[in-house]
Amino acid sequence: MSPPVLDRYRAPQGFVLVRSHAEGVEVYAPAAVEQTLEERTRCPQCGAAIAWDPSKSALHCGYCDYTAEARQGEQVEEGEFTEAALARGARGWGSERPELHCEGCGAVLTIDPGHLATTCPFCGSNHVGVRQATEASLRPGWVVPFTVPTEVATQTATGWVGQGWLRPPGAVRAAHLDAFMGVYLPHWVFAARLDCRYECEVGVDRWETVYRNGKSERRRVTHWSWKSGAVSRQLDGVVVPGTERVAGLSRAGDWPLESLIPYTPDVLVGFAAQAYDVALPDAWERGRRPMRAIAAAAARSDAGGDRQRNFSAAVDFNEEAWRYALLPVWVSTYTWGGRSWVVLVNGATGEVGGTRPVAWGRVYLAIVALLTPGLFTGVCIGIPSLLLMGVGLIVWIFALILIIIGAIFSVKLYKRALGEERL
Amino acid sequence: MSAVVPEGERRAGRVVLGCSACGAAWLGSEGEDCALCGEGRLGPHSARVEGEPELALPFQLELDEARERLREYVGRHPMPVSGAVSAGGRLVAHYVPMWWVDARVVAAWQADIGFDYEVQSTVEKLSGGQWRSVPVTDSRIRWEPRAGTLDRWFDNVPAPALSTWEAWSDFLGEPERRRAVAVEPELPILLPDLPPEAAWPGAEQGFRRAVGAEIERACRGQHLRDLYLKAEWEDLRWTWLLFPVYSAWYTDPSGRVRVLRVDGSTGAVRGEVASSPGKAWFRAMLWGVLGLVLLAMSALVALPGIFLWPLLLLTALGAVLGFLCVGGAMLPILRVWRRNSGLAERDGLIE
Repeated sequence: MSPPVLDRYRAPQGFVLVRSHAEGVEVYAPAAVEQTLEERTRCPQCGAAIAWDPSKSALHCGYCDYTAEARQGEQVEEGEFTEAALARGARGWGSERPELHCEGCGAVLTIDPGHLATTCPFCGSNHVGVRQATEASLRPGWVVPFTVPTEVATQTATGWVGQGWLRPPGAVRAAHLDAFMGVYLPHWVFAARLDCRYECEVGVDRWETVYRNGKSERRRVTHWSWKSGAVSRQLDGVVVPGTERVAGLSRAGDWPLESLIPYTPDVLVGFAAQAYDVALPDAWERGRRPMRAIAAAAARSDAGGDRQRNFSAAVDFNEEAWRYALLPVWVSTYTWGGRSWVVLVNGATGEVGGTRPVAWGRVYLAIVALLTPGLFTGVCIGIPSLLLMGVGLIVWIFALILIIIGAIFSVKLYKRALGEERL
Repeated sequence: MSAVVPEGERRAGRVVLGCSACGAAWLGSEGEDCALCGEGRLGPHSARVEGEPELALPFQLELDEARERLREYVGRHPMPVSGAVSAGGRLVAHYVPMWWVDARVVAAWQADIGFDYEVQSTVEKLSGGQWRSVPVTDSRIRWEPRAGTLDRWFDNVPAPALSTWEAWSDFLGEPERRRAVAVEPELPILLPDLPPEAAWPGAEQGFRRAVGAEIERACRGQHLRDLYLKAEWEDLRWTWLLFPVYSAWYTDPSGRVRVLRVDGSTGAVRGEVASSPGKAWFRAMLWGVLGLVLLAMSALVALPGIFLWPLLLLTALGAVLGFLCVGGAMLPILRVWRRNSGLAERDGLIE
């Protein structure tokens, strides 16, 4: 007969018996959570296709108005940089999804099973192939769901395409931005505690009055001294795009990471999604750059003084953690002037980015207008005044200043126009 | 569980005796000095005693080796009193008790188990405006909850048999089961002042530590925290274990008896060694005399120095050295006074 302590024993809820490595000891551990990720693509009331409705933040049937509450995904812990953490991570999307391959731009994204995709949302190419998505990549742990409805995205994007005097007339009319595709794009979100030790020479300025040749002068004297110290910064939410195949992603603005929720395939219903093509180590390499710059800036601020030199620092990354998150983007392409233009709308904030056509004639006219005052002054006023009155040199200097100012603004305008056309 | 042994009753073939000064109970011979306090003699006594000594750790050190260890220890102290220097010749071998407890532990438990793992981390170094990445490997602990049951025997869990055991365990360390042998009957044995029921809290702590280690092993973890244990302890068996100790005592300059002890197993030495004021005064006198001689000689050399000025330099040098010697003569006295006033009132091994 076993003692009462053992008779009455019940393992805590959710614990299962696991292997013990010592005789006489029974060990229970939390059961591994098996996510049941069956997809809900059909309305249980009318059988029509249902999709994620950003305005309701739920699955919604457009035919019978049925709304299904979104299931909560399993809480996913932040990952560490260990092989084990990567090995433990679930793979694939958690549901069967076809994968679309674009031969034009190389984009690879998974689409809804019912979606009949014939064009690539990023480049507009119709050279696309569809196959079953592989399960090689890590499953996303987090997602920011779409909250900006497609109508709002269309309206915002249309305004954006026609915004400003650089736009060619007719571009807005030609841009049929009614075919936005919602795509979840992969991102790595990093966090770390940075312990930075630094050493530098700190200069403190003071002003002295000296007398030279009977005159007093004020001069700056810098007193230099070595200083060392340590600062610590906790950084969270450093976002690095997980794809290099979507150009202009940085133009979609900042991401509201406070809206991140654990991943569930529900939020993908009705949307495309792309797996990462920038592996975690490469993304972490990129993510560390802004983080170490922040640490160095904090160290410089801590060092103080009026100026610094011979600054050296060692930034120790601790408690590093990563999250693989899907972030929402509305994507549309339109044709103007014989080429495709991409418009990206941040699916969580409504911020617009992408490419838009430029009326180059207007740009060149503006550049001519900017340079004209200087050239006119130099040629039409400077030369005659030099020949007739001998004061043309002053006019030429004035003309040169006008030309330089005009050139600076011209270059800025040209770069801006170029940047709007290209990603 | 414990029983009062009436006066004159024999345990392990010997009479239970008590110290006339500190009251410690011993199994020994009447008229012997008390090796615990060094102040009293053993006489008739009645004491609460449970069982009889069963096992002892053997004396690994011969008496001569113990004397040598003690001599070295005393020699490390400045100007030791002669009583401490000669204490090695008065070393007495005896035993000090502790409990070993065996029990079947039946328990439900819950704890956080820590697993060591390594993480590839980075240190970014900025020098000359250039960043350089240095990969480093960090060791971390992953804590995971575990629960379960335990039903097994634990042998030889140590528990205190003396109320001053904390100080004793610092000195004697943990016993090793395999080294335990039968008790040498002719040596005095200090009797426990903690019977099993009083020693149980200490034993329970020991069991909890042992259970924790076993759970850690069962989970293949490397750390354990927040152990919650609901346990039943069955078939408790208390074994009286003896540690071998050599003790000697001397009287310090203030008249206090101080005991020096050598662990018979490891040779570790413990005890306060007082410094001798007599030796300090003797040294002070030597330095003082030397200083006065130097000053006198300087004065003598000063007279011809009036006519031969380089001799004045010699006078000055002699005077400086003389004053230094006279001033420094105070140092041994101050050092001994400071040291003796800093000696502990008690060594913690006696209640």
